[in-house]
Formats: sequence, structure tokens, C-alpha cells
Amino acid sequence: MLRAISRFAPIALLLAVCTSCGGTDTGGDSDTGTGAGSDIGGTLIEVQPAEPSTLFPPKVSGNDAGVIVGALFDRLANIGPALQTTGDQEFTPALATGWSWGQDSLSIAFTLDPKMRWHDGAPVRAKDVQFTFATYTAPEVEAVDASVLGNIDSVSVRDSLTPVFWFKRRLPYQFFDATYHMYILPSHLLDTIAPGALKASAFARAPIGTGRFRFVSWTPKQRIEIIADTLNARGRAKLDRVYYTFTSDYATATVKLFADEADFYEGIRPVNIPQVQASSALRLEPMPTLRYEYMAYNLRQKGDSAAPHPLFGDVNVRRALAMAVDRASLARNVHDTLGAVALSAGPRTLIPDSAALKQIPYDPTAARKLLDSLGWVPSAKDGIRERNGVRFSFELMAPSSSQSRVRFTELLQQQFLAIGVEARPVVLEGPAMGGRVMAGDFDTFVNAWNMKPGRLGMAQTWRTRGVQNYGRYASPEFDRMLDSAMTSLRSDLSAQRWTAVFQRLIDDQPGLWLAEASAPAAIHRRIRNAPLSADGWQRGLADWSVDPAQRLDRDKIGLRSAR
Amino acid sequence: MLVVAAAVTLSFVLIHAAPGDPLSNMGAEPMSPELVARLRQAYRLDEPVLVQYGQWLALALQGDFGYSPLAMRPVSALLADALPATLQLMGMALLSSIGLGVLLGGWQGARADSPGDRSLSLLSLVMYSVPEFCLGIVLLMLFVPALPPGGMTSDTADMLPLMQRIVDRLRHFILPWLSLTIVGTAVFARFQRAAMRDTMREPFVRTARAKGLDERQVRRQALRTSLLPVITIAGLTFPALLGGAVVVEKLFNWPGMGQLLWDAISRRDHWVLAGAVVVGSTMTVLGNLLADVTRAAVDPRVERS
Amino acid sequence: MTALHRGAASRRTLRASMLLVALLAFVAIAAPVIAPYSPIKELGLTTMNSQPPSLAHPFGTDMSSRDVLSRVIYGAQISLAVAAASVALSLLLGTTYGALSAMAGGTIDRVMMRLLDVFLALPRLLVLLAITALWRDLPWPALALVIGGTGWYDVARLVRGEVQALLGRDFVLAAKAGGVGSARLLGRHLLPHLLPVLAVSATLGVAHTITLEASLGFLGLGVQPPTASWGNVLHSGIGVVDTMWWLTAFPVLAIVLTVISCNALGDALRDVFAPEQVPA
Repeated sequence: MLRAISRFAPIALLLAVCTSCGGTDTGGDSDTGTGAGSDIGGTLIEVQPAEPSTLFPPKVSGNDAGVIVGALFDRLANIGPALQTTGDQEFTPALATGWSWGQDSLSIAFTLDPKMRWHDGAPVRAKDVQFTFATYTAPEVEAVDASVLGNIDSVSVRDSLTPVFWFKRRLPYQFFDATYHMYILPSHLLDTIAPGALKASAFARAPIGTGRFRFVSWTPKQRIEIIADTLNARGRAKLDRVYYTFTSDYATATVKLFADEADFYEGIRPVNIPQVQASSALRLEPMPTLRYEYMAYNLRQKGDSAAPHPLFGDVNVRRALAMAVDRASLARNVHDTLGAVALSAGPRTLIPDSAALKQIPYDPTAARKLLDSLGWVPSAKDGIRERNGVRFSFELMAPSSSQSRVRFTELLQQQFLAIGVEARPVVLEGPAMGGRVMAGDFDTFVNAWNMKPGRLGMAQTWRTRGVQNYGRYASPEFDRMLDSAMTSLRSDLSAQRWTAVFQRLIDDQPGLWLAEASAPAAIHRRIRNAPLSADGWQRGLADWSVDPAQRLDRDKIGLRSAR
Repeated sequence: MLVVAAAVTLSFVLIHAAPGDPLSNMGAEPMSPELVARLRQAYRLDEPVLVQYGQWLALALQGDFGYSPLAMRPVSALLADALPATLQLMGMALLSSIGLGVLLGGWQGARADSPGDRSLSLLSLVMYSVPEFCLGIVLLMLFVPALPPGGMTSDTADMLPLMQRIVDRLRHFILPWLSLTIVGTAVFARFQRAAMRDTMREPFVRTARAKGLDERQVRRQALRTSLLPVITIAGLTFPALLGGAVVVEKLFNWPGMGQLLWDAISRRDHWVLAGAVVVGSTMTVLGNLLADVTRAAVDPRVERS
Repeated sequence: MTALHRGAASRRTLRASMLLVALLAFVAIAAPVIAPYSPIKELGLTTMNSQPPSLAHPFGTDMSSRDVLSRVIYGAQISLAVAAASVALSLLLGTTYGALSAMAGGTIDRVMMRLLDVFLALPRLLVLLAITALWRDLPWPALALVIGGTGWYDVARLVRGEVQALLGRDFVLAAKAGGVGSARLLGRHLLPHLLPVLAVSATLGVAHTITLEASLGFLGLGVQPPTASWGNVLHSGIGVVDTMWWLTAFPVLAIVLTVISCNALGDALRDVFAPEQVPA
């Protein structure tokens, strides 16, 4: 027995390892670039921290799946590089070559490009657009962005190339609403499937779109492959193929990058930046984001939305805590040179006049005085403040998945301790924390929002009873200010009103604004990329190319596929 | 069967007792309370635990392990993706650990307390004491980038000619396999050494020597006898191996059951967890069964019935 | 090589490993005196963070500018306390269960052993993983409770075997004839004979528990920061092992050193107490 094992082990090893090798090269001539100097061809490998659960556009949330879907599907029109959401001047044609407004500005008729084809060869038609709107808003689909499509009343088909959007009221971001939230879906493939079954359909794992890349394969837990759509009406993508490879472990991801096995990684951490700079194969590329981090307060008592929170119901307490935190040092410690203090509930790029905002200064002495005057005095026992027998002690939650947010809890704990306030960090898995947050069962947590272009999320996050207003901040005055800013059709007035909105959030402190950070992306030197955009780096991916002089083996594979 | 039922019940109780459910996962764009309520109803998350358990059990008996709302796929599909990767890694690691461990321990046991045995004992004590992930980290630091840091294949592997593809797979296999095998070999070597040493003192060895058998043949005979306890141990180490797999798979980004389990636990994906535990405990039971069968084959004293 | 010779070597190992374990225990207990800094005090958020080892900070500082040496020393306190408490618990449970099973005999014994088989088949790390992942903020005594509560099956088997062997011995039969009750029989007469086996099991158990805590820590579970444990100090460095090696290297060293000395101690104890026994 023993001898048998030792004799056959090497063979068994080979066999076991090769069980799934199988398959042969289908070969075939590749129509890679023409001459030696051509910038057509090449392979890009992006390391992603997580595997998407679906590629069905209405169900896609988050950046990781978003960049893949964005390469495979198209919108009617693309937002401009400045991410200007009002009006239509900065939008550029995509599936639609043009558009015209109705006389009352309550409708927009798009003209589809007649040359556009789905990856299966079928032409793109107005009924696809109508079907797309119906799918995104069908309750059974539970689309991520269904709630922001509320101002669109309906979509009609004027002729086979002219879909018309009808709106309920005039708003500055009507055009943005009609184009930004929806990728157009192929009705000829999907309209026979019940809306509720779409997300689990074969299409969701092997999508067919109109983008300049088309889907090839999805190896579960390992990678997704897309290649250039050579028949695309806008011309083929310059790269041959893109792999999205999944690596949940950050260390492994960076090793892969440094070992020349990957070309692109979004969100490199500050500690690795010198390494990237020193590497001969990689360079850093600035990567703007619309993300900000803050400590969210529960303004109501746990579980009881009527009564104010015993500690944080008082705006002066919140202001005192803001004075106790050296936010500049915290932001610097967590994000190093990549971060900056958050000025308010949004990154600087979304605040029209950030210089005009008046901040609450860092002043621990004033913080102590303020708390003293509010009746919160240090106890004789351990120096933690008390009032009427209530200790100033609370839970500070953060999700384990976010290194920076966990770090903030540890740092905040120390800062608060210095003024006699006890924060107890609780690190939870995302779902566990989410459950408590949504149930209102929390004191504070470190949160981060990735804002969409145009501040539209503000109503969801800070307006009274907004769907994501977890701290239950309720200020009728703030709501009025927000409404007038959002509906203002004049740009100078709009800027003024938005500044007032952000100032109000500083004064009221429904959250302690901590930091905004934009980690650069690490990218292989041979890749010539378009500028990275804050709403997903896949913008312009079809025009990325590989420097012909620096091609690696993987750039020479060509367009043939293995299957 | 009893074991599997107990394992499933336990995991069900645990995950239901814990705070949070799969729909409370707060992603980049959280959902409205109405939507969450509707989803919860759709996935029957608001029914009593016992009802959920019963429904799940009834379906599981038909091979349907339910649907994962987070992965948006049937649980059986997720399991089918993950299981082969784990079997490959675990199976090879187990086989080579037993093989190497038995050889090493047998050699040591036959020469118990010689200087060679002493230094090997020290070595296996050290290897036995190092947690798998520590070893993995050290291996990563030593061999990367000469060897790939993780995954099962290169991203471009499908494009390579057959021979290169095999080499590519082997290169990805070495490090995770090595971190499991080094520790596993130390474990089995320790058992085998003690068993061999004890066997060498048994009367039948003396008899054999007296009969004039040469030392090689005597040792071969002793090794065969001393294998019995080791085989039993091999069956029992299965659960521990599965546990070690979680850590090693995570470290080396190996797309197997360990990763699936880890994701399921941290995302509160009840049905995936339950399905994975069924598979895990079935593997354990099969491992024990295999150990019994092997022991019967090796040991003439065990009657085959 | 003679038995005598072997005994001398074992005793040497025994002494050396005992010394090491005692030293580690001393470090843990005397942590407040030995540690140069507080384990949770930040020394300078933007000036002293992520410093490599130096004379002032032999193990460097971490990303929150805390002294790593002090965190490893205080970590010993938590890690060893978790290990000691959980092993004590599993010894208590295992001995009780095993002895009761052996003394009851018959059907009860069979049922109790069958139940044990079921427990044994559950992947332990999996159960621990589930519990610690589902309840992230377990205080360390609760963690010890969970680890101890899932670690007594082997002890129970071992003790049952020993007790069964002892039950046939003259002194037990004499005590029984003298009308000694079960509890008293176990406490007074059997326990002293079990001590060697339990001592071996305990040292090996401590080694195993430290590995477990470290593995959980590696995954970000178990004892949560800012309290220092070897597992979570290690976890904080795992993502940056290539740039800040000192965050990982020193806790790993502490873990491996401790586990080796505990295992060596266990081996040596076994050789001294019961040289013929197969390792368990």
C-alpha cells in the first residue's frame, strides 16, 4: 500500500492538477494590429478586490461590477468629463446621435444611431430604450437606481429610431436622469423573460450589449474576460482584451501587480506608493473620487425614533465633539498625503465655494468647557464625563472590510478620551453592521459615501426620512434649503444655495466630517490610458492602448479565443 | 448521516442566532426599507427559523440547496464551482503529507533516539508548531515573484499551448500545496515515528530478526503494522484539514470551499453556509469511511464483512 | 542508546522548555512593568507612525504610532490568558464527560461516545470561525469560553480510556468495596492518576489554542483592537507585510516560539510520565 502510494503519487499529482486543463487551441488567424507601429492590440489585466454577483446592469451596484458593465453596455448619451449634471450642453452622443427637447421642456426625443448593433448582430431600436426604462422601474427587478428615476413619467416610441422620454416636472438635471442611470438593454433577448427572473437568467452571467468590448467568459471566483468588438460601428477597441481578475486579499493583489502579472489596480494604499514609484514597470495615475468619510451620529434614541438620543440629540454636544478632534492629523494619519479633511458632507469637487465655508475649529479646551457648561462633568472615578448618572460612553462601529474606517475608530477613541468621553470601537462584518444601522440600533459609526455626480444623493442621505438618512437627522429648515438648491435653474443662484446647504451641515453636525481621499491607481507603464474619471475608470477604455515598443507576451496573443 | 444532520442543524442555529441577515449588507448604495422588506419576504427571511429549516431540508434532500440572494445563483452551482478546487488541493496535500510523513516517521522510528532521529524530531516539532498561514507568508516572501502569489492559473493561461498550461498550473499549485504539506507531513511524521518505535519493540520483530530476516525486511514488516494508528488518524484529521483550508485558500486566493465558506459566513449567506457545511461534514464522514476501508486492506486482523 | 540516556535528554528538553514557558508566563504577568510604553497610547499620529525598529522602539511602531514591543508584550497577556482559560475549561469538561462515561459504562457509555464522534466530526476551526465572525465583538473571556467549549472532545476520549483502565485496578476496587461514592472516587482516587495525562494534554492544548487564536486573528477575528493580542497585532500588519515587515515578523516570532516551547514541554512531559504512550 505504502509503496503504491509513493510510486503513483507523482503521476496522481500530475493527473489531479491537469484535470481541468483540457481543451485545445482553436487557433485561427488573429486580426491583431497591422504594422509594427500600430497601437492596436494588447491585453489589460485589472485586479479587482471582489467578484461581482451579476452583470445584469439594473442590479449592478458599486464600482467593481460597474466598470465591467460600463465597458459592455452603452448609455444614450455620456456625461462630460467635468461630470456636469445640469442641462445637456456637456453631454456627448453615445447610442443616440442627437436629441431634441419638447416645447414645454417636459419631453426629450432621442435619435438613435442606425448603425448600432448588439453583439449578436441585431440592430438597436427605440423599443429597446422603452423596454430598458420599463425594466429599471419594474418593482420585481428591484433595480438599484429605481428610486432616482421618479421624475420620468414614461418612455414612448415615436419611430423605430426615436424613443421619447416624458417627465413629470422641469428640473435642472432632467437630461442627466434620462441618460445616466440606465444602460440600454436588448429587448429582443430579454422581453420573453419574467422581470423577476432576469437577474438569475443566463444573460446576467453572459451579457450581450452594444459596447466596444464584448463579453467572452466568466470563470467563477477567478476572472471575467472581455474582448474588442471588431464589428462595432464606432470602430473596434484598441486593446484586444481585458481581464478582470479577482483577489480579495490586498497583499496578494499588490504582489500580483509588482510581479508583472497585472496592469491596473484601483485604490493603492499610501504605504505602497513609494514602491509603485520605485518600480520600473508601474506608474501612478491620479484617480479622482466623490467619496467622503464621516462619523455618523444617531440623533434619535436606539430603536425609538420619536425620542432624541440621550447624548447626541443635543447639537451642542455634537459641536463639542467636533472641537475635540484634530481632523487634519487624523486624515493625514489614515490617508497620508492622499487625504484631506472633509469640509462638509461631500468632497471639495462637489462644493461650489469651499472657501466660503466656516469650519468648527480644533480646540479641546473649548470642547471641555462646552461640555462642562452642558452639565457633562468628569466623574471622580475614572474621569469619564457624567450627567445625572448617565455616563458619556457610546459605541463607535466600523465595518471590518474597510481598513481606513477601522483606523478612524481607533484614532477617534483616543481623541475623545482626552476630553473625558468614552467611545467603544466595535468592528463588525458589513452585514452585521448594516443590520444594526438600518434598524436604528446604534450610537455612532464611521461611514463613507461614494457620491454620484451632481449631489443628487444629498436628499437620500440627509433629507428628513431620506432612504439613507440612517442617523435620522430631521431639520425642516435644511430640507427647504436643499429643495431650493436642487430645483434652482440659475447657476449663480444654485452655487450660492448649495454653499448654504453645506454650511448648514457643518453647523448642525449630523455627522463629524472626517476625510476625503483619492487613492491613485497603479498602472503599467506600457498602457496609454485616458484620464481616469471619478464615476468609473472604464470611461474611454476602448481608446486605451499599449505602447507597441513595450509589448509583453500577453499583448501578442491577438483576438483568438481559447474556447 | 447523524453527523451531517448535526452539523447542518448547528450551523443553522448559529447563523440565525447571530445579528444581521444577507439583506442587511450595506453596500455602496443601500436599499430603501420597503425594498428590504419586500426582498426579505421574497426570500422567506421573515418566516420562523423552524419553517425555513424545514423548507430547506425538504429541498436539500432533492439536491436543491437553495438560492443565494447575494451571489444571485443557486447554492449548488456555487458548491460545484468550489468543490473541485478544494479536493484538488486538499487531496494532494493529504496524500503527500501521509506519504512523506509515513516515510519520514518510519525512518525515524526504526532508529529511535539516534542523532538523525533527534534532529528530524526537532525539525518536525518546529514545523508542527508553525501555523499554516505563517508558513504561507514566509513562502510568499521567499518565492514570489519566482512563483505566482495566488490563484489557480494565470489570467492568460487559456491562451497558452498545452505544455505551458500544465507548467502554469503546477507553478500556481506549489506554494499552497507546500504550506499544507509541510505542516501535514510534520503531523503524520510525529505519529508514525511513535507508532514505528513502539512496533519495533514488539515481540514479533524480535522473532523475525531471530529467524534471520535482514533488517530491511524487518523494518518493512514493522512499518506495515505501525501504519494502522496512522491511518485512523488520517481519517480524523480531515476536519482540521478543512479548517486549515480556509486560511490557506484565503492567503493564496484559491477559489475553493474555504473561500466560499469565508464569504458565506461574513456575508451571512445562510443557504451557502448550510450547503457548504453539508459538503464539509459529508467529506469528513467519507474520510473516516475511507480510513476504515484502507485499514481493513492493510491489516490482516480486521475481518471484512 | 540506553533508556537512561534517553531520560537524561528528555529531562534536558523538559528543563529548557519549562524555563521558556515560565519566562513567557512571567512576561505576560509582568507586562505593565516590562513594557516600555502603553499598548494603546499613540505616540504621535503623524510623526511617530509606522516607524521601523530602532533603539527607542526595538520592534518599531504601528500605523497608529503605538509601540509594537509593548503591544506584543501586552498581547502575551491576552493570548496566554485566552489559551490558559480555554484549556482549563476543556480539561474540566473533558475530564468530567470522559470519567462519567467510563464510570457509567454500558449503554450510557456507548451513547455518550457516539455523541462525541458527532462532535469530533465537526470541523472545529469552522465552528470557531462562524462564531467569531458572527459575533465580532466577543470579549476575551467569551472567546476562551468558545474555544474551550469546542476543544474538550479529545480530552474526554483520553480520560475515558484512562479511567476504564484504572477501574479494573485493585485500589479502585478496594475503594468501591469500602463504599466510596462516585464523585469521591473520581476526585480522591482517580484524579491523581489522571494528572500526568492531563498535564501533557494541557501543554499541547495551550500550544494548539495559541495557534487557533493566531489563525482567527489572521482572518481579523477573535480579540478586537485596540486591545492587543498576538493575533490582532499580526492582522494589522498582514496587508503591509512587504513594506512594514516588523508588524508581522515580531508577533509571528512570539507565536511560533511559544507554540514550539509548549509542544516541546508536552513531548518531554510525556516522555517523563509515560514514555510508551502514543502521542495524542
